[in-house]
Amino acid sequence: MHISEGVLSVPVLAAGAAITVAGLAVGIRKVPPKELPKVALLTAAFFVASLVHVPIGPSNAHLVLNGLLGVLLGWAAFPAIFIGLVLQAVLFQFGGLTTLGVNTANMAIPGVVFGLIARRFLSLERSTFSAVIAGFAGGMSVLGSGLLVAISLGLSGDSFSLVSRLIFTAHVPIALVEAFITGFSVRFLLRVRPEMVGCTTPLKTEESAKKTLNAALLALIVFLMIVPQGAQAHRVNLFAWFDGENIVGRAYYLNGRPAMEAVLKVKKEDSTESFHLKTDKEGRFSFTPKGPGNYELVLQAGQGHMAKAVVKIKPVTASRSSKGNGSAQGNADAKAAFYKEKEKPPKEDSVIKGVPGSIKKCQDMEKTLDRLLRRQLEPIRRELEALAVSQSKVTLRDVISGLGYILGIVGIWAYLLSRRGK
Amino acid sequence: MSLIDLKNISFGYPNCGLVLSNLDFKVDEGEKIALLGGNGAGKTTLFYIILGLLSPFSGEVELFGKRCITEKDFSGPRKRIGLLFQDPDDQLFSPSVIEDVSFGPLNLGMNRKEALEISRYWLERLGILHLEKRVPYELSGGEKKLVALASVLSMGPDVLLLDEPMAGLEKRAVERFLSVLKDESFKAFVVITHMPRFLEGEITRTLFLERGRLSPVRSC
Amino acid sequence: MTCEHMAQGKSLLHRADPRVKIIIALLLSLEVVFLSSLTPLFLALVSAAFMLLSTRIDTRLLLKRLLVVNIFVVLLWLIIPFSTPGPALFTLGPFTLTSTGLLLCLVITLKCNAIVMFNISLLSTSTVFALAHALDHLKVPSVLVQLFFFSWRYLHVLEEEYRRIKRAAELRGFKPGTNLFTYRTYANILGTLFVRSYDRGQRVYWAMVCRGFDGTFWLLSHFRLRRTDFLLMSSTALLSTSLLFIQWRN
Repeated sequence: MHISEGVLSVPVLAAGAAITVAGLAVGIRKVPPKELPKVALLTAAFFVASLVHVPIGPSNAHLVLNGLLGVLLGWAAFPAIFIGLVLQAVLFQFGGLTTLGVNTANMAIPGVVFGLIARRFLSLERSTFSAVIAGFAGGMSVLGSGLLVAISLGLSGDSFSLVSRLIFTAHVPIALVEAFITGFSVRFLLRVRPEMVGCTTPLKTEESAKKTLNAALLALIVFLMIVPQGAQAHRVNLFAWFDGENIVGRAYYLNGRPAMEAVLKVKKEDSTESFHLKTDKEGRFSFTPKGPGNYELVLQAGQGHMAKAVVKIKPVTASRSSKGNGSAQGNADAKAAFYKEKEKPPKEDSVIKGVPGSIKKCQDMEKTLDRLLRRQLEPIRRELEALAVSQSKVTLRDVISGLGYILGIVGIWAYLLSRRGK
Repeated sequence: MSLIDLKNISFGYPNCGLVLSNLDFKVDEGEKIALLGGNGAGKTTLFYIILGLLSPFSGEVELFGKRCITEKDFSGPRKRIGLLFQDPDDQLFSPSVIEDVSFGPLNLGMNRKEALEISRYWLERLGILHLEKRVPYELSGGEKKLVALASVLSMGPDVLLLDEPMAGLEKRAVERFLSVLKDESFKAFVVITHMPRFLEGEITRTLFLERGRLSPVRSC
Repeated sequence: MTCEHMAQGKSLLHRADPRVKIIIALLLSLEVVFLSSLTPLFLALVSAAFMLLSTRIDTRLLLKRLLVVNIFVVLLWLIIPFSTPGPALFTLGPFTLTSTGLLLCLVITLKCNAIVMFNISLLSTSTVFALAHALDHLKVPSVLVQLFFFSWRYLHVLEEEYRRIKRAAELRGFKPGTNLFTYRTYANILGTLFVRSYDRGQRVYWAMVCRGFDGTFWLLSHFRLRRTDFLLMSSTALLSTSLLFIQWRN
């Protein structure tokens, strides 16, 4: 499935382009002049094959065949898919230049990964088993690319969440058909031209097997680096502060959803005793601390997701029952904002000092003031929370594009190396 | 010294058994050979083996008096033996006819001007100079064949191996092709053909490939 | 097979140097991606449409291509206005239409069409071979250029071959349906296609080796920059700076 022009955000496009540059750099090195016409001819064959409509129920679908391409070409599938997309862009105007990177990466990564893995299990002796493995690779490649398409859309904005889910679902039946076609094709090739699927020499030398394993591992790592972007969205964040009376806070996942009924472990820094409490349906919690000190909060949100926060409560000054200073984990800006909000203007102190009267009355008044302030500040606090949530999401995207840039630099480096090698 | 000397060659494809078995084949200077044989007899395979594109299971290949084993051994002789492929689409891949014909000369180290000159000469000779700027894959089958032939001749080969050169050619083109074979001074050529009648008078020897071996044919 | 219909023509863009066109297409596409406000996007779309019309490519063909491109965009229009959080314009049962969603859709539609129109008018007006040559001159790794160019060269041959195999199967009574037999038949047809391509690839390489190929491709023709190319470059520069300026002003 192609993603059209103009849909994806700039960081996603940049990351896709960078990954594709890296993939191309590796792929090009796997195509010696001797193999070039073969790879080109197979590229053309796949281009033709991808124009084939195969019936699925009442409708029909184009074949993707990225899994089969991976099985036949290994890393060279990267340039092959890239060229196929360039040709489509030039001849059929299906896409343009800016999405070339993302679309290539989305199709090629699963194809190369599953293709290389499947290739290791293909053998002339067990042709049915080989066909099943190849079919599995074919199906998984299409599902994988559907997943990557969904992720690319999802990372480009929250608006695309429904669209990306729909697109992924649409890949499922195609994956099924592709599994059958890839399996049968590989069985055919094993019978007719086994060297095409890497089964020429009956005895694979140890070294080449090792090489394939390394390549598969590398591909897997790259794949894993990209796939968990979806899983990453489940990392949990904890946000807590002292509001003068209670320690309150909120726990949320990186995609902005609250961490419901998660277990929170609270421990005061200088004591050994700790207690547990649970977040409510909005991921909020609140408890009354026992005197000043540093409180360590550990949130366990299941599936091994954990987050920590420390809230400092300064000792009470002579005239004050409490002087709250919240400490918010996560974001320095938010923290600074809180200090500003929380610190009472120094004027207040002088006013209180200036008024003669019993200290108790003064303390009562201060308590009421605190409560009033708390009530007034509540909306601002919520706003800030929301801000922190959204900001931590931005960082996630930044991390991913950063990852893309790193890969891109590696790609350029590999490209330079390959040029120098000539 | 023979130009081409194959001794005791055996070769086969997987699932097919042996195509050539203990075959001997010798081409001397001045020889003009027609090679006949049924479908799948191994005629084309024989050509591939001569040029070292396929390596035989056993036997020796000697070209211009030198034993050839490695890829490097073959690279010199390949420039002196021109092979015309059966399917011209295998041979033509350039954006224009003239570029395809000058591909060989450029690889031989000629400069652009020389390469163009020699390419134009051969296009003219085969009567297809008007196709110069055309895209090879858009040509008709016969035209493609002539362009492929020009692209082989432009290398200035001493020996020609022609795989069904006349298939799909119209009468005038066949005549032009035959006149080239007659007039140009090739040291030798081998033609795979199903139509030996056309070559009558140009041929010194006719061979028949059957069950992996060559046998002489007295008259067609 | 759809050939290079759009590359045939005599317009200014058809005659321009493909190297210049590739670079301009890249620059303009990238710029459009970065634009986010409606005014510069509208301007980009209008100039792209103007460029497209100047190529004088058959309008019906153009509309057909743009229609295909916009299928995905239509899908987005059906979903995104309702799935985007933001101020509600009106509610329709369980669906809430938001202005943010509508705006996003509009931006996407403008971007998508502008980029595709730039691409058609700049890239599809050159033949693939001209593009390959240009890429070679632009120092794109030669393996990529050769792959591009070889794939294109043999696309037609293989398409013919596929059609022949499939026709033969149909003549023997093959009717595709949703069943394993169909899938197996397709797999065998494709397998045959792949084997033939693989063998042909081998022969193509042999034919090249026989003609003294050692890994270098020699270029016979060279491009020369002409006045129209400079005109094209300067007008692009003007367009892209004004787009950037308007975006920055907003």
